[in-house]
Amino acid sequence: MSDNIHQSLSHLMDNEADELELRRLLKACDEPDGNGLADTWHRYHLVRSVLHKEFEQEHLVDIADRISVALEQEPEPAKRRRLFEAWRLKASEISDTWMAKGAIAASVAAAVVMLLPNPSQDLPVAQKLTVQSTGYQQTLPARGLQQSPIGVQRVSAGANAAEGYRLIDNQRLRQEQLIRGYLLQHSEYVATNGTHGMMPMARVSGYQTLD
Amino acid sequence: MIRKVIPAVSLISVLMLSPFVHAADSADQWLQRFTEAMHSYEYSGVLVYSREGQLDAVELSHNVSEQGEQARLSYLDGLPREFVQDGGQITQKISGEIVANDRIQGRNPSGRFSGGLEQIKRYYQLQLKGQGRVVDRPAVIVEIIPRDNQRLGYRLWLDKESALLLKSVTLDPLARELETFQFTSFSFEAKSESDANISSESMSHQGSLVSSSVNRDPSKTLPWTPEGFELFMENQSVEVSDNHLANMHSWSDGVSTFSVFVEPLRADSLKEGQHQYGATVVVVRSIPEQNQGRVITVVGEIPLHTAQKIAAAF
Repeated sequence: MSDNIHQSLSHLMDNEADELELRRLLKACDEPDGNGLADTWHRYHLVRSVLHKEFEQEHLVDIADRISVALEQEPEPAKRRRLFEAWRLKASEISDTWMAKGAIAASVAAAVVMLLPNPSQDLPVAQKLTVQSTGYQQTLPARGLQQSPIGVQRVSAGANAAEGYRLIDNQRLRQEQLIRGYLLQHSEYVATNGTHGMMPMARVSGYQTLD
Repeated sequence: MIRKVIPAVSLISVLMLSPFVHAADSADQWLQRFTEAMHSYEYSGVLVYSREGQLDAVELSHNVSEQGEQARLSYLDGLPREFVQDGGQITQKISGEIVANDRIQGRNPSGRFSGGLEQIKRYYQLQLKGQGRVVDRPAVIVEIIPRDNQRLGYRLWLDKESALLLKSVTLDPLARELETFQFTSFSFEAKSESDANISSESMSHQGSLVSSSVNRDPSKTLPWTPEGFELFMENQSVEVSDNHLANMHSWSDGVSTFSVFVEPLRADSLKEGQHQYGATVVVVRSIPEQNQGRVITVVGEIPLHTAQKIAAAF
């Protein structure tokens, strides 16, 4: 395999691969020596996880087999593709203006939202995968210290959610502990010198949930 | 029919307004009564505190004795943590065991608006906003509205009988609610005149001494301070964590307060950034080695842009 292919693979990892690269990669995977490429793909992910210090899992989950099985069971992929092509053709006709593009984006979003609620019924595989991959979650709290599972990311692979691995961002936890110290000192000053009596100390409770 | 209703309505409204006008007078007087009451009554109750995405319940009690004021705040949820205040001393306990003990220097005489009401009115507008009912008690609503956008506003529900604070909402400069304190059960007891007077005298005396000595030192200024804020407390080597010490300076305009922490830059110092928890903002700025590596942390109940400006001026 050439360095070019590896570079494309790297682009795909960063979500920067263009359609050509994607096609070339998929084609390379199908070739007799394509197994090596799949392994490289796995290794790249492994390296990234380790570099980001996010790696604490027992084993990698390979869903490739499940996808192939699902593909085989898929009733009429050709018919669905035709439908999709027709839809795309129609869409491109009206996509001349930005407004129209916006409307299409909105309708695609709406379609996804409408399709998501019942994943078990007969959705095309691609959508099933979308549903499954929502198992990959980051449960970082939106506003920092307020709520409990601070700095804990839960990452899971579809049905294997329970066996997923947990990531603990020590750096972040430590920062939040430090901030609590400043908040506590300030609140103590306000409680003894402000107009509200001890009331401001109630603010501290939120900073303190994680000791 | 309508002709009969109009005089009746106006009569009722006059009847409803008259006791209010008679007892209340002005927002100024209510605030004056409130700040005195907070230091001279014994009161206790369950207080809830809410801000976006969070609700906490604490038990709060305040006592006045000849030794001064004591207060106790204990959490009803989660870790059994409590804070006990005795004068300027705050002790933190977990499950009854003392885990920290801080002596807070510099009592802020503006904390009770004593003599400072005129000063406060330069930066805030005081308004009566009618009447309400909190914890099954009739209350008067007083609003403290900032005159510029460098400070937060407060809407206070004061008990009609005692002028004690029953509910308080903190508002940003656009009058959006940031946080709420509210009693859900409440009882109070007036202390005898002598007790209250002794404590209030000793407090304000102590306070004015500290604040005036601090204020005279011209070196104790920030590169930029929002108008109306004065330095009320400074404390060398405050322990912000197990192995972190910082110099703490607290500034107040009599209503709003912010603290500035200055410490040497270290590898494990706070990273630059900003955080907001209800009305409280935290802005961290690190100044690089070449420029006497320091970390400036601004914490306070002030608008975020004000805190950013204070930190950026260093």
